[in-house]
Amino acid sequence: MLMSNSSSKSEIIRSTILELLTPRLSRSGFRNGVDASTQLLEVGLIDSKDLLDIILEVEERCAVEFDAERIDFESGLTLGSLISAFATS
Amino acid sequence: MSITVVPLNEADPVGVRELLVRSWRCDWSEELAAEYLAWRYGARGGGETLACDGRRCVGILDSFIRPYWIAGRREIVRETCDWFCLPEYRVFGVGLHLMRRMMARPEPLLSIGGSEFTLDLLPRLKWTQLPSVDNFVLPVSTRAVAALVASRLLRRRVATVYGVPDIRLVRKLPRQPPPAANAEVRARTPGDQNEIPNGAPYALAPWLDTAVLDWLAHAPALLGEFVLLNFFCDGEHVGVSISRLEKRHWGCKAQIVHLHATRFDVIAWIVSETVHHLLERSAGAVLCRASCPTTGSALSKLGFVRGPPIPAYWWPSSKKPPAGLFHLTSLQADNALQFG
Repeated sequence: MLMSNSSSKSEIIRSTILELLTPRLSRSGFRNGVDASTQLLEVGLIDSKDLLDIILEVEERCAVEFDAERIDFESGLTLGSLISAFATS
Repeated sequence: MSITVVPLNEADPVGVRELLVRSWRCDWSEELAAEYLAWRYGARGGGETLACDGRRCVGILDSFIRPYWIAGRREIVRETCDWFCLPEYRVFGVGLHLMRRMMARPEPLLSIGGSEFTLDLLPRLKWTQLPSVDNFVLPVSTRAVAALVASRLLRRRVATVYGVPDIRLVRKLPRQPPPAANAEVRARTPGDQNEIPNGAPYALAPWLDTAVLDWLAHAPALLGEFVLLNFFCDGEHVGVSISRLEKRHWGCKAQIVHLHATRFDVIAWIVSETVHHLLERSAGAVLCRASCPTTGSALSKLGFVRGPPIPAYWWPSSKKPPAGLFHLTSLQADNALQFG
């Protein structure tokens, strides 16, 4: 039950982030689809200010908290790593 | 590798020094930086958190821990400052993470002014806005005014003020009469045994103690000189003023850092005597921040010009001080310790 709650929460976070990325997708001219491994910074989808906006919006809408200690700097910031940086428990 | 958050005393001292010097944009020698850091963090300590990537220091958020009078009660408040993160780590939300950890601490937080980024973010993090703090300046010489205007507009040091004729703008400054026949102003020296009397009944005001005065009196020379004055009426210790004098390439800049008065009726005299003292020490401009209307009025009567107000924020709203008179100045956090 816990697992199912957690995965549905992750799904809500994922869809919220994707929704917030939509205007940035057209703005940046990025034509490929965004998946869990998309490097958000490298492809120019977001910058540090955009990230802040996304974090605060996701926290507000999904009642979760961002935890930067969950992000691995070496792997970069992907959609997947961003989703997992929000505490869902 | 992911971020770890550690207190300052657990981080690599060289890494800390490099990060701070970069955040302050100072061109200091190793020796100067070490002296400043030893004074600033060594004697005070306890309020800072660092973000590290391995052994590398990549972000910092500092805070000064200070007791306050809040509606007649003594409470500990943290004044945040030095919120800085290396650009390559901002994209990982490191700065936000440090602030969130600070916000999770038990003490309420106070922030006055700050960068555009800070002022944009704090309300979004649900900090409560307090009444703004007024900014005052007394232009004493044309060269000082030219330098202050240029540095504010261009955000850098300006050498062109050398060409500006140095004409004195303040010929005769009015002097506020003392509130008692037997009134006296004495310089305060480190280790002075005069205890600090309780302040006037503000809804919010820092609790001044001898430790902070002694700490400022021992500031390294690169900050200039902190001038401490004690005020007495009929033998009663009624106030203290803290000012900072800095030698600049255009002359001497004076900043009234804080005024502490036991009663409202002595404030105008304390302000007047402090400003006169600073002019006697060749101040080319005197700056002061004040949220107290009595102080503001005293400054205006002396010819100070009111500048744009400075926003102040408080966290959390549940511990917000009650409405009333606030006494916020440049004593908060590192506002009295800015360089350049």
